[in-house]
Amino acid sequence: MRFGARVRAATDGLSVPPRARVRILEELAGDLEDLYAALRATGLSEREARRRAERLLAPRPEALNALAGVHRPVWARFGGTGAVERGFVALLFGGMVWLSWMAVARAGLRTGMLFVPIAAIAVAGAGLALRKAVRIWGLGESSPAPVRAGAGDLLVAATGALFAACFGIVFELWRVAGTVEGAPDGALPYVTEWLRASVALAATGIGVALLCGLAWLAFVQRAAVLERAERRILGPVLHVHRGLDLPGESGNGRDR
Amino acid sequence: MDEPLDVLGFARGINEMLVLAALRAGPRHGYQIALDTEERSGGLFVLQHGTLYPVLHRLEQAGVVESAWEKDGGRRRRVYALTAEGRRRLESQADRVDEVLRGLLQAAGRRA
Repeated sequence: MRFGARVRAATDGLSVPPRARVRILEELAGDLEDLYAALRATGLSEREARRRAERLLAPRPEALNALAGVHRPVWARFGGTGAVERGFVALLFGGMVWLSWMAVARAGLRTGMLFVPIAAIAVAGAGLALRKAVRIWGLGESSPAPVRAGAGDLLVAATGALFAACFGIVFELWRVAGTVEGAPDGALPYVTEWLRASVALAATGIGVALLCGLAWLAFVQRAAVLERAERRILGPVLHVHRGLDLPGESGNGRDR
Repeated sequence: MDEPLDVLGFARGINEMLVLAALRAGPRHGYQIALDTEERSGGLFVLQHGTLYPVLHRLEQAGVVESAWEKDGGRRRRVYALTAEGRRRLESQADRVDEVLRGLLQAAGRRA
């Protein structure tokens, strides 16, 4: 579609539920195409027809804001999008911090402090995932770019959790080795405790990493679904950097 | 005039009235509404910068216009039409504009 890339680029930040987004993209691109054809039929040059079509119908940021306002879910209109999102995330994030702290405090392990980095990473990952989830499924974010943005941080968190678990196991082994070296006869209880702590650390680290990985997968899948929907409406996608001057996309005289 | 004129609200209502006026002649696509408006006003009013779609979608939510997809040569287009409520609103807005313009010209001494 001639105006597909133009409409896609212009509506990147349009934050409306997916159904409304699909309708808006299809309507905009179709009308631009029809208007262009109608103007060409009157004898206008390709360049002039494109210029006039875009002048009349191409979406601008202020119009997209107005469209987002029209299609925003009813409950999200109270207090503004940002306030609702921040409220949800603050509440859930606070709950996660409290639960993590209680879990570490009640673990009763001498090695409890080794769990703190993993818990911190879990809380950070949960905060990231919750924020995105509220934005996507609560407030109806449907632009692929914002859905995909920041998802990679969850993979960093997953790697961090595994690293923290490995570090904890090795650190505990080093500490136990030092203790056993001084009293070889009573080594068994220390080794047993190290094994128990190692299993707990590994299980926690792997669990946090898996949850972060699953959240990353969910967001990436969601972005892929939205991108496929856009491709279906607007034609083949040209994934280009914003600002790149494409032939025929900028009205610069190099029209197709 | 019964109530004071809200100048900003009146100005914002112009776009809405132009869209409703374009649909009075019959169902139209978005781009036809934009073209009709420009032609019928002799180029005085141009629904530009994408103002058309927010107005159309807002009017549809308010039940003033209704829309449906129309298939034409493999391509789908959204067609808008006035509802009965839309016709009433258009008449009411046209009366209001007439009233405001007459008052304005009278104040300027152009009309007795």
